[in-house]
Amino acid sequence: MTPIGISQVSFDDLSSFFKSFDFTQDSAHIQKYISFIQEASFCYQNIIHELYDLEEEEVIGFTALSTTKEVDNISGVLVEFLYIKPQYRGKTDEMSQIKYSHLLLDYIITTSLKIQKQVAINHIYLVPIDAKVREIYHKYGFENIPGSGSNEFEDYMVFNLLDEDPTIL
Amino acid sequence: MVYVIRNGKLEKAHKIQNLTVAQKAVLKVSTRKQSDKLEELKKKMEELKAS
Repeated sequence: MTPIGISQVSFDDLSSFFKSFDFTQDSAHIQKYISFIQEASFCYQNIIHELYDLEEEEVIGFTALSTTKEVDNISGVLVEFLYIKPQYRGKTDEMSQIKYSHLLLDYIITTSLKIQKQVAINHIYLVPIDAKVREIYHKYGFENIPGSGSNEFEDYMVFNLLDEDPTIL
Repeated sequence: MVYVIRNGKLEKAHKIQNLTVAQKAVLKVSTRKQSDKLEELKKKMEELKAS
């Protein structure tokens, strides 16, 4: 059993961080998406957070976070991208018995709760890349915002940080 | 910025405007699953702070 760490990737380390990945097993769309994410991170448009195996010193995955008002001007944390290396997809961390993707999602929620104490942000948004991934997020607790995309595959999903939000009444 | 695969191409997700009542309802009230997750993570945060 090895301990898992999650932390922000510093701006100076971004270049070497992305170079450490081999994305060739991923689809052309995913590779292009990652190139957009990488480009945005170099312009301070998102922040990359990595999930890594402390003992093996190996990165397991990462997420790119920013903020958005794209959902009817209601501010929220935006999960631009969440990536788990192919060999770790669907796998569970032995120590916590939590799936690697869920460890990252727990981290995103916890980080958002900390931000929420400082800034009035009460929602976390994302748009899954495909239906399979949408199901994973739904199982975790994200809800579809019905009819929010051009079609059902493009609907935004949301995780509410308040039990009841009076800000959008 | 988020992207979607639309007509076989990677394109920017559209902005949402003028939420309907049904859409607002999803943003307004947490599901049981969301509330349980928040409670679990807040508890973990408190435990970490205390340790």
